[in-house]
Amino acid sequence: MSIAEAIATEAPPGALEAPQPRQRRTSRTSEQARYVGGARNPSPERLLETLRASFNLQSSPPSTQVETAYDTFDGRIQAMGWTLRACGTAAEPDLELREGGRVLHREICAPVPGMVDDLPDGALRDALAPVVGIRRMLAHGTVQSWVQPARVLDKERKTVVRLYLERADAGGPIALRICAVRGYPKRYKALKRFATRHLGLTEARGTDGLAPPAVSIPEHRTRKLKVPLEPELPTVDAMKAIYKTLLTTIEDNVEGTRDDLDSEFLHDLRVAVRRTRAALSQVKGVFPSRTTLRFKMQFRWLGQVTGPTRDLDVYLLKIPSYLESLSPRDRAALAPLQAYLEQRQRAEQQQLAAALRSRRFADLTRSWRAVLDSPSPTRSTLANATRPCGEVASERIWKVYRRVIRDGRRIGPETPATPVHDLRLLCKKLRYLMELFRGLYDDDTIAKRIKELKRLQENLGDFNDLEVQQLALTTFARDMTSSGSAPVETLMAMGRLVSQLEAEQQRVRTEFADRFAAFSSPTTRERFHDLFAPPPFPPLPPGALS
Amino acid sequence: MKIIATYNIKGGVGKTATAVNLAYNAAQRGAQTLVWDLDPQGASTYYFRVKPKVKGGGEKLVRGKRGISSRIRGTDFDGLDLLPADFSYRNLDVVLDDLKRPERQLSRMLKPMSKEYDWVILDCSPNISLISESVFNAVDALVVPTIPTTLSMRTLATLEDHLHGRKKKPKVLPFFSKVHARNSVHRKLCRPGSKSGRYRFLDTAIPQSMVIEKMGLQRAPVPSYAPRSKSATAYRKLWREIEHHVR
Repeated sequence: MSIAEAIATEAPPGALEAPQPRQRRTSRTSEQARYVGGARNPSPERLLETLRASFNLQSSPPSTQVETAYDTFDGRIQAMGWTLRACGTAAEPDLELREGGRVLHREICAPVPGMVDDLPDGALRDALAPVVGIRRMLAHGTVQSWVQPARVLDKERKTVVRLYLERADAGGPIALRICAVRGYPKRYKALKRFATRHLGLTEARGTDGLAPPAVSIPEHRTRKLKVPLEPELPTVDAMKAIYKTLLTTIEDNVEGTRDDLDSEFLHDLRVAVRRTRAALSQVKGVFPSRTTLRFKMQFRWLGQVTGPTRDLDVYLLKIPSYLESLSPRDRAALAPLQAYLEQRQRAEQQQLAAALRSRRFADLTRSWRAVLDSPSPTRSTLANATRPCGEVASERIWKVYRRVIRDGRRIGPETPATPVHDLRLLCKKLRYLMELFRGLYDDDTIAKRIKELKRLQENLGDFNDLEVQQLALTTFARDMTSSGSAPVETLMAMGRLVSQLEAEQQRVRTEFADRFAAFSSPTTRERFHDLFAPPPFPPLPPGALS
Repeated sequence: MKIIATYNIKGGVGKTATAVNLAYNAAQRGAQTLVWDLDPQGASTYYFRVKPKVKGGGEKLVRGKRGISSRIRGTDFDGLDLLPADFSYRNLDVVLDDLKRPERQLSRMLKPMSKEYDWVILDCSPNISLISESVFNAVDALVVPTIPTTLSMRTLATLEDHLHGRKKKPKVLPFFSKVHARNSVHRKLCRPGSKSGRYRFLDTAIPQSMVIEKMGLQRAPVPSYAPRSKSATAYRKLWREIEHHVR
C-alpha cells in the first residue's frame, strides 16, 4: 500500500467506492458428472466415434495444457482450498482461481504478477487481496493436463451438452466429464445413460481417477528449529546435526533473498545465521579453536552484509503503523520518507545480491559443509566434543539462566539503560541455547519454558527496538536533509513520531518489573531447575568419608 | 449482482450486438452472467441459437409463481446464460399495466437471481413504455449505444429529460456505436471527452464493422469467431470500462 493510497480521505471525482469483497455464487448453473473407464481403458478416438454414431457431435482438437501453480511462501491460497493457475500461452496467460474443479475467477494478464497490487482491477484481485496480503505469489511448479473438448448440438447447431475427455498425463486413464447446459436437462440425462450403457463407463465418485493432487506447496515453512537429538550423543555430532540444519535453511533461502522475492526469505536466512553464530559462541570446545574462529568471522561477515537490507525492509513494513499513529495532516507529509527508504532498500538489496553471488559466500557454504560432513574423532582433547550433548546443553543453559536471574534482580526503576541492554543480550543467548537444543527435551515442556522466557524477552526487546527506531528516524532525517529530499513538514512529522516512540519506550520500561517478577517467580524458577539444573552429587558410598 | 441494460429509443444502433458481446466478455472473466432478451424480435436469442419460446409466454413469466429460473437456458459458452425472448413479449406492457406497481416488476423477478449471477444484462426493445420504466428502476446502469449524428444526440437529450426528476435514477453510460472512421460528421462528434448534457461518453467507441455484422451469420458473439479483430478488442475495452463504472 503506498502512502498516497493510505491517506486518501476522499475519493477523487468520478471514482468508485472501494470494491466489496466478492461473494461466491452458491449455485453453479451447470451440473456435471465424471465417468471413468475402470479396468478397460478406452481410447479417446473410440469414445468419440461411438458418441458420433448416436449424437450430433462436434469435437475440438485435443490440447495439452501446461499450467503453473502460484502461491505464497506459506501456502495461503491453498489454505483457502483454492488453487491459482496460469494456463494458456506465455504471451496471453490466463490466470484462473479455482476451487476444486470450478473456476471462480479468471483474468488475462501478462506477465503474471507476483504481487496482488499488480493484478488488474477486478474480481480476481478482490478475492486474492485479503488472502495474500503483502506476500508475493511465487511459481510452485507445473502441472500437465491433456483435454479434448466436444459438444453435442441440436438442430440449430447449438450446444446442449458439453463434454470433456480428460487425462492427467499422456497414456494415463481417460475420464469423460459430462457437463449439463442449463435448460436442457433431458439431453444431459441422455448422455449420462449413454455413457453407462454404451460406452461401458462408470460414474466416478469423489476423486476417483482424478488428476494427481495440485502441485504441493512445500510444507509450511516454519522458523522452528527441529533437530532430533539424543542426550547421549556426543556433543560434536549433535552440533554438526544442528549446524547442518541451519546451513540447509540458509541455502534454501538464498535464491529468494537474492531475487528479493519476499522479505521473508531474507528474514529466515538471517535467523539461521544468527543461530549459527550464537551456537559458535556459546558452545565452545567442540571444534578446533582455529576452525571455530574462522567460521565465526565468516558468519559475522554474512550477518553484516544482510543487515542493512533487513533493517530497511523492517522500516518499510513499519510505515503503515507510523501512518496510523499520525494525524491525517502529518500522514501526507510522510511520503518523502517512504520514497527515501525504498530507494535505500533497492541500493542495499543490490549489494546484498552481489555478496550472495560472490566467491566468498560460495566458499563459506562449501567449506562449512565440508567441516560438518567430516567424520568426528571418537577421542578428543577438546573440552566438550566427546561429552554427551545432554550434559553440555543443560550445563550451558543453566549457567546462562542463573546469570539472567542474578542480573535481572539488580535492575530497578532507576537503573540506567546499559545494564538493561546487557540483560537483553543475555536473554537472547539463553533463548538461542534453548532453541538450539530443543530436541533434547520434551516438546511441550521446553515450549512452555521458551514461552515464559519470551514474555521477558519481548519487554526487553521492545525497549531496545523503540530506542533504535528513534535513532534511525533521526539518522534518516539527517540523511534526507543533506540530500535535500526532506520538506519541513516531513521532518516535523518524523519528529512527532520520535516523541511518540519515546513515550512508548518509557511505558515499556515501567513494565519490566512485572515481567521480570513473573519470570523469576519461585514456580518458574523451579520449573527451569527441573529441566536444566545439573543432578546433585550422587550419594557417597558408605564409608567414603572415613 | 449488478444489472445493466442496453437501451436506446432509436432502433438499429447496436443494442443487441452490444449486449451479447459485453455479456461474453463478462463470462470470460469468470463472472456468472445472464442475458435477458426483452425484445419480442428476439435478436439476441437468435444470436445464441436458442428458440425464441418461453413456456407460458410473457404473461406466465410475469404473473406466474415459478419465476424466471426455469426458463433460463445455458448458451454455448461457460458462465453465460440466456432468458430467451418470446413473441408474446410484445404484450408485456399490457400485462404489467394490470399489476400493482408495474415499474417494480422487473426488479422483483430478478431478485432471486442474485445468488446465481454476478451480472444481468437486459437487451431492451427500442421504445419507451412501461417495460422501459421497469428497466430504469431495476438497473444499476443504462448502457446507451449512440451513433454519432446530431439526431442521435437529440435522442439522448430526450432521455436525459425523461429521467430528470426521478427519485431512482440509473447511471447513464452512453458510448459511440457504429462509428464510420471516414464519416466527417461521425469524426466531429466522436471525440474524447464528448458530453451530452450531464452525460459523459465512455472513452471506448465501437466501430462500424463487417465483422460485427457477421454475427447474424455466425450466430455467436464476435470474440468467439474473431478473437483478434479490432471489434473484439473494442468490446473487451468497452466491457472493462463499464465494469469499472458499475462495480
